[in-house]
Amino acid sequence: MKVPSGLSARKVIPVALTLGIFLIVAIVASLFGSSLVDRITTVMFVNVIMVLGLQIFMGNSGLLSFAHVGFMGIGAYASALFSLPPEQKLMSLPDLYTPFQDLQLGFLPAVFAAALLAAVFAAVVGFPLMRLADTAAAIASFALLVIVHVVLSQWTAMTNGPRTLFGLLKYTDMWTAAIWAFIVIVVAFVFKESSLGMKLRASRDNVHAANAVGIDVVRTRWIAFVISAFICGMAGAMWAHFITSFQPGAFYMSMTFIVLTMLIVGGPQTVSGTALGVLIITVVSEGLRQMENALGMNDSFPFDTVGMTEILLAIVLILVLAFRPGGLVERTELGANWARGRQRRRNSPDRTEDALVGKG
Amino acid sequence: MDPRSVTSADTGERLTATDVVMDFAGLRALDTVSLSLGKDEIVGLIGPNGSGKTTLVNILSGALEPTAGTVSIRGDAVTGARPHRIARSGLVRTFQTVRLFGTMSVVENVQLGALGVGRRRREATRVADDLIAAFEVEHLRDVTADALSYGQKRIVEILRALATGCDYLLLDEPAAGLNEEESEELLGRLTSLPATFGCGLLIIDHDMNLIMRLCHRLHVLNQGRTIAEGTPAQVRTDPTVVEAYLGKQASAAVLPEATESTESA
Ligand SMILES: Nc1ncnc2c1ncn2[C@@H]1O[C@H](COP(=O)(O)OP(=O)(O)OP(=O)(O)O)[C@@H](O)[C@H]1O
Ligand SMILES: [Mg+2]
Repeated sequence: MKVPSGLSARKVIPVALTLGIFLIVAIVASLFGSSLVDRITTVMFVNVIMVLGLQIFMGNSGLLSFAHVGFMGIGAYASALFSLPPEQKLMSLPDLYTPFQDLQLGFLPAVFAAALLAAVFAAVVGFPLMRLADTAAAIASFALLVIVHVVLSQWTAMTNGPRTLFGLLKYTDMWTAAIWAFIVIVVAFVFKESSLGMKLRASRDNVHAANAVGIDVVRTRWIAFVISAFICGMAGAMWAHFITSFQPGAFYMSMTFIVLTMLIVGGPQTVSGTALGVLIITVVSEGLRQMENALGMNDSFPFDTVGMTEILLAIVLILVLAFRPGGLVERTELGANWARGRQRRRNSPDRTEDALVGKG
Repeated sequence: MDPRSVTSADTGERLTATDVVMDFAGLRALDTVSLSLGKDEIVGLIGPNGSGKTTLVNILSGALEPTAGTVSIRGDAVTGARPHRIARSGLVRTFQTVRLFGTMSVVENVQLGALGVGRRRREATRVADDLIAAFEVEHLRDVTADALSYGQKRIVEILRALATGCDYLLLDEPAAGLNEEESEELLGRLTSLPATFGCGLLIIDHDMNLIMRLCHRLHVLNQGRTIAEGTPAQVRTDPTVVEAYLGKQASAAVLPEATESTESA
């Protein structure tokens, strides 16, 4: 065969391994039968979708984006608008414009319509944004997050303003989130190895060389930006239908911080690393939160413990940036070297000699 | 199309630069330089350090927009077009400082040459495999580009450029950093490119031994001006050229051997 089997195994093993890890997490979590574990796991799977959506753009392009939590917010609010029953809208969104009042889609159509809206928005704003150079692009994406936040908190007719939007039906359960997370894991792997993903990674590695072989870097980045906004919008919609009531503040600084921490700690260049980052940060932050609560109840502890989790997460982030700036899984996807190891052994000189001797 | 930009000899199948001027804040890096390259020839672009060779390549490949003058490919003006457009028109360059896609394997780097100009995945895979076989670097196929030796990187960069199927290939000091043996091997491979790939070469190098043996024609720059053009034999004995080089190196040789080059992108 022309294509060495080791090469395809190199690509398949990491996908299977990542899916396997998360499948085990889902099964173990459902065996617990505790509502707390169920909630934590569901949010984790939504975060897998969100952070991989971000990875598709950031990890492959090497550009920093703060805008994506904004796309998540758009997905959440739009899906609410699409899925709330008309009678509920009268209570939840009393000032809603008439054309939207009777609009009601099922859960999945609402999720996809919301994701599509986030993608269309990203397509429009991404057009100028993708033309900016590194730092300017990062700052502009941050400005975009601020704009989205201000609009979500002030457009009272559509979002109920800064107050809580309530009354969404709880469609997302742990397995729904898990299955969509599995799909997005596969999508992120496929994207990375697609010719679009390869061109994007080429532009990340060396933008001048990418230009010199004919890659339209701006266009490539723009397409990835739109795809990743779609997935982040989807994550927002799934999250909204799990939490069922939320405010614009949910899609702002602290969410951006946690999502970026997951991506950077795990390793933005790898899909398996990014997914693992979500798992690790979820475990660490939930563990810390339990500790924070326990200490907070204990009067003999001399400090106020509120916010301790964020501080410790920030320290974890700084430590990773200092000692492993590429993240835990930096370049080679988890498990990819198992295939390489086998291949090398197969091709090793002594083996070849053995084979020759055997033939002779 | 400006009719004056295409002379009768151009017959539309050439890369042509006409009266190119490039000013950098207070410095005229190129002064009315004209150059032309056919698909079947190897042209050497030589001159002392800082004479404007890389600047000319930057202009031809779209990395810089000239202050004045025009560049055309097969008669179509491409002056100031974005680099990826120019690459898709059939003009591809390599860099004085090698630029590979460092996190990716050799075969992926080469595939990206074909993917970059819009080939399908399957075709890109075939093109890359063929090139890797033709240059006998199968053992490097799955090696990450960052892990290659300097000489290997240079070869991979050329393979990546060839994978685009370009008509005009501009090589900025391909032999810099290579040892004598590697340099000799490169010479052998480059010589056959116009015949096997239908791809004209413009080569910058300070290795006069290589240049003299490889090139059909030479174009000599000094301080941004063309000081000589012609066959290697003509240029070798041109008094202006000898003087330009002797000004830098008080050598009795007609032309100096390779000089250490300074890096500039
Ligand atoms: N982007 C730039 N901005 C300002 N000056 C530049 C720029 N690029 C090149 N120059 C100047 O233009 C002149 C020509 O430089 P160029 O790199 O083209 O020379 P070169 O012939 O390639 O030299 P070498 O043999 O050292 O590679 C030099 O004086 C250089 O300093
Ligand atoms: Mg140069």
